[in-house]
Amino acid sequence: MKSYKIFCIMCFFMNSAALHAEDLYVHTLKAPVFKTFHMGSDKLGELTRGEKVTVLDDASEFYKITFMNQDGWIYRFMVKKKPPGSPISLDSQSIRDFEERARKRPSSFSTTAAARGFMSGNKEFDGISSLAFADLRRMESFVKTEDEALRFIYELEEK
Amino acid sequence: MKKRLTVLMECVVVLFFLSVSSDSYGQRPRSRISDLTSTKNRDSDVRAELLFGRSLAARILSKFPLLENDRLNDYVNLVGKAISLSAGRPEITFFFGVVDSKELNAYAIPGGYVFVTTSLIDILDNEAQLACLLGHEIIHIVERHVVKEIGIKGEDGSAISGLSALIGGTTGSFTKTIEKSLDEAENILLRRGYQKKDELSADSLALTLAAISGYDPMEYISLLKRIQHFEPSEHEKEKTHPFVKERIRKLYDLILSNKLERGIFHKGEKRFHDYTKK
Repeated sequence: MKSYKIFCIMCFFMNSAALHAEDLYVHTLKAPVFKTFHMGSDKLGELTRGEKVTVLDDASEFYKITFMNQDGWIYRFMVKKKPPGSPISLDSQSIRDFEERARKRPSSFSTTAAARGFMSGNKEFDGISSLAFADLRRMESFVKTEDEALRFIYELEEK
Repeated sequence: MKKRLTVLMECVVVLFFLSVSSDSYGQRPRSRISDLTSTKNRDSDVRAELLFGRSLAARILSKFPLLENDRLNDYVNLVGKAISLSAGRPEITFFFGVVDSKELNAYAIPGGYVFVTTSLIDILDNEAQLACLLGHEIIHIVERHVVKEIGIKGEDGSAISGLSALIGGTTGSFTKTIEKSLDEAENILLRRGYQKKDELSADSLALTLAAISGYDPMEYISLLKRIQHFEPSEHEKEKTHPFVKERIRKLYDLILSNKLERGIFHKGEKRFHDYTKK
């Protein structure tokens, strides 16, 4: 009976370790680490994208981890099982091919696009109009870098 | 007999612990879909999502033209990018555009395209409200709500790999299947709306993004109240922004449970008015 009890206790601790000691990776640019599992609690510091964390426990929407030799809590949403990937973009040939096919196929937007100044029957727009794709490329030109966005946030805090 | 019973009990205990320890955080019911599918997402799937999203974004722009105000578009992109830094999915680049429309609405397109109407920007008070609004749309994209809703499935059952097969199959011309998927996606965005659970999920995560970025989370509630106030009719209120009271209540609960009502946050009123004044 004594050996059976020892055996059960050993199984319990092995199971606890297996359940909680999972490695996850930070997927956000920065991930704050909190003192407790509330966003309003003191911040202990922050992790950066790609850093690995070992989960010790979980509560609410947070995981408990070890951070700078103490317990800390990180928001679940910010970590995933696999390391984060790099930004993916489309090559210009794929974009051109896709736009060409889209323009050739009539769609329910043909009449709507006509309201933007094109005559019906104008072969410049069957399907999605060239104007729409021009607007799309203009929209894409406004894209910001991470550094620009970070500076923007810092300026908010300084004001 | 006693020895046999002991051995049997030990086997039962071992089997029990083995079965429980095979669970991981990714398989618990509470874990997010994005955690479960992250291992299945491949570069080709993301490219497929980008192509699909571009086509859908172009459809939206056929209906609502992009505003000819570079300064405002620039500003919205800065706020949106700032919020997206805390959202995950680093493989996606987010693009934000202000479109000319009388509707009080914003649209989240797979692949990272977010549209906000001029009418909606006109009723906002400050940058924090804009940040909450954009955060909400970003979460719809991060969590792939539209793609999953369309129900495109691949051989492995995941929504994203089906999209890849669909796009890869269009050599030479659009197929009816792609058009049908685009029609369905457009229907969700412009008419039917998202599922309630997706809207509530987007609210809670967007509030988190806003708070972590330094924006006052209470302004999310102000935003919903303003949208409700400015909707032209009760019919429009229910059609485009249903169950607002429930959303506000859940946001209050989230703010209180996270003790955020005591925090120091920013509204960004001055900067908002500098960029949006006509």
